[in-house]
Formats: sequence, C-alpha cells, structure tokens
Amino acid sequence: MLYQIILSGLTVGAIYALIAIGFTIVFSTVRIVNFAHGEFVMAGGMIYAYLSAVHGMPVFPAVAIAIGACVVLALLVYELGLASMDKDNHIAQVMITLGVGITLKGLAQIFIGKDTQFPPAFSAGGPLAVGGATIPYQMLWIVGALAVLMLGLYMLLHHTRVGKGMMAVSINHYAATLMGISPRRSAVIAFMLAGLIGGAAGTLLAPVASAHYDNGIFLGIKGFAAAILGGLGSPLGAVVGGLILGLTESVTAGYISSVYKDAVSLVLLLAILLIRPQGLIGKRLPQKF
Amino acid sequence: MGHEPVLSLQKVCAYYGNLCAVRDVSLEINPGETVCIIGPNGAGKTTLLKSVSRVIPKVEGAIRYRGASTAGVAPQALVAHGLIHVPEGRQIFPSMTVEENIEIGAFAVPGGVRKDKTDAAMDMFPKLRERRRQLAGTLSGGEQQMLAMARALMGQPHLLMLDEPSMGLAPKVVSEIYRQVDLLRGRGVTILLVEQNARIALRNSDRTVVMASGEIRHQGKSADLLAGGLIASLVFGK
Repeated sequence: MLYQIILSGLTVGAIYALIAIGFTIVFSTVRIVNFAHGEFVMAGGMIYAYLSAVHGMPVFPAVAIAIGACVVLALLVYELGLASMDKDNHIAQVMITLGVGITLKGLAQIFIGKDTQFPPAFSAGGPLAVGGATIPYQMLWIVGALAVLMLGLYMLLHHTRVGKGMMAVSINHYAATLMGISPRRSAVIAFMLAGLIGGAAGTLLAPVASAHYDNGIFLGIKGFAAAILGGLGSPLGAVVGGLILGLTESVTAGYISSVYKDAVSLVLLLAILLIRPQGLIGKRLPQKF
Repeated sequence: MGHEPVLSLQKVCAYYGNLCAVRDVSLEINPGETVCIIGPNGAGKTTLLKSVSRVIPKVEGAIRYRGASTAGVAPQALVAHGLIHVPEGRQIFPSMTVEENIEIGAFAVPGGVRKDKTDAAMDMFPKLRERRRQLAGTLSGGEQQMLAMARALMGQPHLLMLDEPSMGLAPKVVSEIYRQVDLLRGRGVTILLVEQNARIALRNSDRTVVMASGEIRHQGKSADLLAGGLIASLVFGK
C-alpha cells in the first residue's frame, strides 16, 4: 500500500515538476508568470489524443507533433502577445497570459472536442509487479522523461553559450544586455523550452489521467504551486517542489481522504512559504552594491 | 578609420518619459583619448553613457560610433563591435563564480571565450585569480569593481565606458583601479569615463567635460582645468 502510494505520488509529482519547470524558466528569464502555461500542457495531451484517435497516428509521431505544436504555440504567445509589451506593466502581462490561456482552451474545445480522451500509453504491455506494487509502463516513461529533460536543461544552462546567456539575463537583465546578450532572444528560447517541456508533460500525462480541454487551469495551478514551493526561478526547486506536492497529495489521498488532498497540499504550501518565502531551493543571493 | 573620432555626439537629448535628462550634448572622442565627464548628481552623466550604449529607448540627436550612426542599433550589436559599458554599481552576476563572470564578458566576441584572454584579464587583477571559483556576490566592493572591469576587457573594447569606478571604494582601492585604467590608456584603448570625484577624474584623463542639469557647461584639457581651479566654480557654483 505504502509503496503504491509513494509510486503514484512520485508519478504525479514528476508531472507537476515538468509543469513547474516551464513556469520557472519563463519567470527567471522574462520575469513573467505565464498563466497560459497550463494550457500548453492541456494542448500537448489534446493534440496527442486527437492525432492518435482521429488520424490513427502511431504513438511517437503523434507525441512529437503534439510537442512541436506546443513549442510553436509558446513561441507565438511570446512573439505576438508579450514581446512588444512594456516590461514593467505587469498587470497587462498577466491579463494577456490569462486571455491567451482562455483562448487556447476555447480553441481546443472547438477543434478537438469536449470529450474526455484517453490516448494510448507510450508502450504497450501490462504493469510491472514490484514488491507488492504495480508500476504501469507509463509511470516509467514519466519519471524517465523528467530525468532526461532535467539533464538536458542542466547541460543547456551550464554548458552552452545560449544557456549561459539565459542565466545571465535571469540574474541581471541590464548587465546581460551590456555584455551583448539579447534578452529578447533569451525570452524566445525560454518560452520555447516551456512549450516543449509543458507539451511533453501533457502527452505523458494524458494516457494515465486523460486529456480534456478544461484541464489546463488545474494543471497550471498545480505546476505553479510546485514552482512556488521549490522557489520560483530555480529548475531544481521546481523538481523538488513538484515531487513534494505529488507525494503529499498521494499520501493524503491514500491515508486520509482524496477529498482533502488539495487542501492538505495548499496548507503545506502556505506553511512553507511562511517559513521560507523564497521557497525550498530558491536562493537569497549574496549581494553587495 | 584614420582621424575619424571613435565616438561623436551631435545635439544628443535623452529622455525618461517626458523628463529630459540630457540636453543638446555634442562631443567627440578621438582614438586613444581618455575623456572624462564630471558633474554633480543628476547632471545626466550616467544617462549620457546609457544613451551611447543604447539601453535607454528615448534618445534624440546623432550618435556615431566608429563612423556609423547607432540610431536603431541594438545594444548587443554595439557590444559586438567593441563598445563596452561598465555600468554604475558594477552590476556583476552575484550567483555566478568570478570565472564565469569573466567568461560571460566574451559573450558577444566572435570566437567566444579564449583561455589566453581570460588569463590576461586575471593577470590584470591577481585578486580575481585567487578567487576565481568563489561566487562573485561574496567579493568586496573593490573586487567587484575589478571584476566588472576584467569582464569588460573580455569584450575587447574599442571604446570603454566606465561609470563611476571609484564609487564607494576606499582610496587605496581607487588608486589600484586607476592604475589599471592607466595601463589601458597606455595600450591605446579609448576611454569615456564618468566620475564624481573631480580630482581623480582630472588626473586620469586627457580631456574633461563638465556637465550640470543635463547640459555640457564646459570642456577643456584636463591639465588646464586641474591648474586653473575652474572646476569648483563650474560644478558647485561657488
């Protein structure tokens, strides 16, 4: 029982972590909380479901196209909606991301449909039985994807020119500009990464938890909570926050009642923010000016 | 290039919203020259540097760098052509190591980071070499200023703009910073310097521009100004 609870908690947590990473990358590079982010996740799952159900497309081409579409969506959201905005007008930015989110939801409803869909799992075959717990293959895909994407993100940020530029922009926008780094280019890459990772989360989640046009808000809130919990701006924090949130929900649902799982995790979030306002991993930078 | 000025400003005005922070500034800087801008707080010195590096949006008048107009040019493109601005308050990357800070200075340079350049930058400031693995935010103010300068040198400056490098530093540290400025002058780097400390500025420049209320009040050879004692009257109105 406990194993099973922990395993499903980690799986849900891994999804939350993937969503949280998108919030964090965009926030640290562009200083925008992208409230449309949950809709990228929804779109990933919906497009994947649509391609496999309606067009009978095999799993991997469908997943690749769904993720690609999310990358393009994210790029469009930034370029058309946010790029030319006044950087300091936060309310307008929030309104734009909210509006874009609602639009994406509406488009999914119109073009893909209102039905709840269960696209096929990535690999066929029954669950693995390990020490009294059962592990569906999709669970392994989810956790594996989180590991691979995190590693990729780490390599990008620390070992490539583009990534180092993004880090510099996230630490000090003005100084980065004076070093010849383009904040706009960093922002474009941040949004595309968020689209990629968010879209991937959507396709991974859909076979186990269904795809529905209305899922975006809830997924976005969970991912945002995970990002805040870990410390907005820290990719590692996003992962830790996501896993803790997933585990808390799963343990609450398993031992208390699934009715309380959201309440307990939100109380946990509030408690942690009272003690550590910067989040679990978020840094208070040493600064001297 | 020949005798063409490295930088020429003609009737430059800069605005923050509707507020005019720099008014009708005309100025030329020739290759190898060190020009210093002095003046009280709010005189528009920093804004002038920001106008040159194109990081403030509302700038009128003509600015030419190495003969070409910079109107509509992105700051990144200017950096790639060796116009390097060391901003007020150092603006280092506190959560990166000293070495990473230095390397990022070469971001815009074609060919990227070169080991010999990094070494040369650290040779100038041996303290930075000692602390290369340390987070830059843990450095003292003087070391941060050195880091900001080392980082700027990685960009292979053709025109180096230094904004108040002495701000908030102990006299001993200030003289160390200016020893390096002197070395750079010796190497023929063209420097545009902003200073509040007029005495330091005059001693370390060829020409001095006095600004107040966004306008140029006086320009002249630094040596003459240093001898004439004109500064106090211009700057402080005594």
